[in-house]
Amino acid sequence: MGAFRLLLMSLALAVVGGCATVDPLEDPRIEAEVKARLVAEKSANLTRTGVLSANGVVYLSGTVESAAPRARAEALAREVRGVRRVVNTLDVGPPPQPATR
Amino acid sequence: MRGRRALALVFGIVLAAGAITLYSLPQIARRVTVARIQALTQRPVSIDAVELSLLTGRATVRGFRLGERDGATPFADFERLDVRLHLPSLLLGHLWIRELVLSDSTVRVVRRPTGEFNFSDLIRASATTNRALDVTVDRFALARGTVTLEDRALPESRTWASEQITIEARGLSTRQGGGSAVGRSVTVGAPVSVVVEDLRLHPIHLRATVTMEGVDLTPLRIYFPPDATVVLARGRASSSITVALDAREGLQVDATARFEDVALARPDGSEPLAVVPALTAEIAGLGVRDDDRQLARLAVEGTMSVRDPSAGPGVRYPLSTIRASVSDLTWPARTPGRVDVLTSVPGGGRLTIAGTVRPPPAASQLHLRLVNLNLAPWAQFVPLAARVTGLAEANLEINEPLAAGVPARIEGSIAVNRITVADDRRELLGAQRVEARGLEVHWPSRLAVKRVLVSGPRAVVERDVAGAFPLTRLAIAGAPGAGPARPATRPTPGVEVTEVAVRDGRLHWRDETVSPAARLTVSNIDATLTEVGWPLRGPLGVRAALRPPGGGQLRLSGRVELEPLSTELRVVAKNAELAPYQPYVPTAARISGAADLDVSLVVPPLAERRATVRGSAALSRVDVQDGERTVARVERATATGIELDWPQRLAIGQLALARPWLLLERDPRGELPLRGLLALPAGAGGHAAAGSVKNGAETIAVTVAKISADEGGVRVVDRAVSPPFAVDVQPATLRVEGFSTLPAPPARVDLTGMVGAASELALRGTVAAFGGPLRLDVSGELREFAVPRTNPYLLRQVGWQSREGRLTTTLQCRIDGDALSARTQVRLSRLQLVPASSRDEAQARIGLPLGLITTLLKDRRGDITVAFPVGGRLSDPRFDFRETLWGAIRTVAVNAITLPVSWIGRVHFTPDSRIERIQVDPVPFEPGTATPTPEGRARMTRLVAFLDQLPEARMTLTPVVSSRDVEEIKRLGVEAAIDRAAQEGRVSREDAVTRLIAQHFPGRPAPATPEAAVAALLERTPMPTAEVPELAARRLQAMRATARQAGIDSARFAGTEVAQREGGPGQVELEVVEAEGPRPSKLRETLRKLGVPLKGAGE
Repeated sequence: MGAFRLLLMSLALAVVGGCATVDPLEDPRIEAEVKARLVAEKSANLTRTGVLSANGVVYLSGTVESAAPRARAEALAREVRGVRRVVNTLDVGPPPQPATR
Repeated sequence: MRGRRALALVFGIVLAAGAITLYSLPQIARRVTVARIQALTQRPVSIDAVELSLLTGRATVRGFRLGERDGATPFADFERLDVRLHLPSLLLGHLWIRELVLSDSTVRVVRRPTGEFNFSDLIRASATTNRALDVTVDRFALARGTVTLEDRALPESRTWASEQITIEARGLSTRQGGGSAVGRSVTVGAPVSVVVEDLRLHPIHLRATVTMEGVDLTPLRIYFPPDATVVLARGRASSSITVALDAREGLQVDATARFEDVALARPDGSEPLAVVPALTAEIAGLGVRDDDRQLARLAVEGTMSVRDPSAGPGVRYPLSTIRASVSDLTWPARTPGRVDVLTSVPGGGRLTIAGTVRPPPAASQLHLRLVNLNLAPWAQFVPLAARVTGLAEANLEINEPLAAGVPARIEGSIAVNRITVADDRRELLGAQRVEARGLEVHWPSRLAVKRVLVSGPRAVVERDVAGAFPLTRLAIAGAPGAGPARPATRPTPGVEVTEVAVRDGRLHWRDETVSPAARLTVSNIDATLTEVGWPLRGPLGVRAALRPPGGGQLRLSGRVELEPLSTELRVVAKNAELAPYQPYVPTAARISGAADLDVSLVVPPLAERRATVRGSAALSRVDVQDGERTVARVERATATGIELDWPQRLAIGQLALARPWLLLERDPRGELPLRGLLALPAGAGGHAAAGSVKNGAETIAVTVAKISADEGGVRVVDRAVSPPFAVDVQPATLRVEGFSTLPAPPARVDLTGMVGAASELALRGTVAAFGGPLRLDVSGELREFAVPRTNPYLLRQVGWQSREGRLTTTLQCRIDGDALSARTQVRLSRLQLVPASSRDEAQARIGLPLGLITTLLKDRRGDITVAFPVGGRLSDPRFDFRETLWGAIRTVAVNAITLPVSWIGRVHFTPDSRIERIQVDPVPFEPGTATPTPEGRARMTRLVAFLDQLPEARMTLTPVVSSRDVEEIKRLGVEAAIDRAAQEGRVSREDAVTRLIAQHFPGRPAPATPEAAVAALLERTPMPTAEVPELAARRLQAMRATARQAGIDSARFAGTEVAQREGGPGQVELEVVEAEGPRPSKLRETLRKLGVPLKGAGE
């Protein structure tokens, strides 16, 4: 019986979490906070990273010089409150190219 | 008898005359001799006494003195000269001296500063004297002779002496040879002997052998030039010289000389640089006849060692063997001569000279070959305070007639391999090979070189903290024997080099005057200089290609005039990296990128302090970084039509920026890092006016006909607000036409771009005189900007947040000097605001909550459209843009709200013009009914219009049931009871009233009139507690029904508790309230209350 209740509760939480809609205030705030954190990062060159937040999913785009700043950008984005997931499409290449956004 | 007597008389007279003559003959001879010598020499002569013995042919001269022409300085003297003549031979014209003995003679030779000797006049005089008679000297002896040489040509006069001269000669004659002589002396402290054989006086013929032993050479150092870097420190010489002199055959010399313990040292007397333990020189067949000279053989053989400068004191290179011979030489050349030199060179290396020398016009062939000459031992003779190493080689051919002096043309090469010049720390200069070819020598006036090839040169040029170049000190402070500058004592031969070629050079520049110290390396230097010469004759042809620091390529071609310095160059650079020049950028920003350049540079003589540049330039991948962060970037900036007339103006035809990007950031302290990053440090120069370039005291006028920026971007990040604000303006396009720092027509500016994801920005107008007072006239538009992005500022400024909304605004702004005049029209669509703070700045400043204000400002489409002006004097210290903006907003809000509110009521203001409250006229109803009065209907109509125009506006309705309503309800109840009683009793209304009075007031007499009876019944009727709320509800329903009929959502009327009042009309009171925000999900609210964590939870 206990296991059944646990299963039900898990299903309910999954449904609730999956169907959860994000406050319309959140995406602009998340986007701005991620950008601000990337810009404030002193140890890596992430100022030109493209950032888009949609329903709490943050998409990172552009080019960074190595894998380390790529990982750092992702970590910084994850730290922002309200971020559900980070989709890291940053390319590792020689000179950083301007982001699309 | 008489005859005898006469004969005796004559004899006596003759005898007397002879006696007299004999007695006076010495005096006569003395006088004649003095007179004769004076006539010959033009010098004063004195003879103390002359003794003659005619019978024996003896003569003695005592006290002979021959002076200089000045009459005061003695030249030669002797105490005694004994001469014994063979008198009879005089009768035959033959001066036969049987014996000539000279004692205690002294000759004082003087070399004057002009180089002329004090006996030169005697030689000239003797040259014109013909031999008069034959001379024979059977014996000549000189005892105790002395010859002194006073050399006044030296800087300090010096006197040499040859003393104790003795000569014993026999058989000297002009008639025959076979004479001999032996002489000895002590010269400069060394014994010198001379043996002369086969001597004939005239024509001169002799064979002599001169032997010297152990002559100290040290005194000869005074004959070294005063500026010589090396002088003779010590040495001894022994020589044997055989001289054969014949009047017809000339002079033949054979000599051997042995030099021992010869040392060469610097003038300061330090450790000898070179030591020659033993050196033998042999001269065979050196002949001099008239102007011809010939040398059968000259051979030198010996050893030499040179101090090793890289080792400690006293350490020397191993002894080197020197072996050289020259044979069959004639000078000027007449017959083929053979030269053969083979020698090892101290410190390493081998020198060979071989060939034949032929008399001109035939060509002589000489081949000089020098291999592996180690320069290190010889560098100490170079006036440099540096270690010089390298291996020199020469391969020279002379194949042309030899004239007097140095051969005019020398074919071949002189080269130094692996040359380095180092100070005590490291190498400063070096080259793999330096080679000079095609030498042409016109000694001493000119040296021409066809080509100098410098392969693999490298140099380290340093500038220390004080700005000095230590490299220059190598040749100045460290020069051996350095002292006060001496006047040039020798003419410097002119040097002409047709071409100097540099291949694969490298230059390291280290500059400690900047911090951090600059480290720049220019590599792959290939350069060609033509028409190089000294003294300077004209401009140098320059053509060079090199790899600038960090990469890329730079090419130079043109002319460079050195005296005075001026240039005409074309400079072409491709991909020249900028990053290495970072130390010279007076900001904290790190700048990288690459430059392309194609310009013509003309620099007239430097004294004119001007220059012109024409051409184009471009920068690629320019990245401006703050630490690791990129704060600005331009993919490519191209300037064409550059016309720089330094220091007056810079004109650029077109400046095109491709994909420029800028980070505009405000940090948590509210400061702009970019400003600090680009600010010049204190002392790095004043702030230049916008768009101008400072050059000392002068300002260069800058004009750019067209500026374009395509695919640009700006990331605006404000971390001074919380949460931070960030938005990208990208892509952006900028066009500027007619930019100028001069008083000129305004520049046209056109800016378009995307702000955020979908907002368009357009700005256009004119900006005047970037170098002068600002004159700006621009209009712009921002479309569909997402208002929620501004939440950080809304939260901070007004305490509200936007959930939704789009901002479209147009701006017209004019600034003339310090006068600001701007008008902004703002349209806010679908704006949804929610309070996010207890403090509402809008309420504090305007008087109403921001939500209510926006509610009242929204039109029937839900848009807010306002226009407000902003103006003022920017230079006014009281001007506060924020306050000005708030004032404009308040004015606009008040005006916008007052009009619609006037339809339904009125706005009340505080003394400081803030809105105190909004009063809405209530809707009156007929007493006790839900029917509006006529006035109520009119108000209701206006209310509907108000709500129709302001669709976001909501109302709270407060139904007021008055005592008149209650009275009316009660009256209606009594009337209904009367009607029921009349119908049930089938009686009249009056009877029904009477019955009801009797029921309610038993035992009381009925009132006198029906009205009094009804009044009594009303009094007895209790309060209608059920009917009052019902009446209020009906009234609200009536209003909602009216609104619905007008298409107004009845939900915008929110009812409240019923209010009951004494007196006054029954009515519905209204209050304007702001729109409700979107309601959060009830399910989420429930889960949140249960403590279930949710993704994407808002603030």
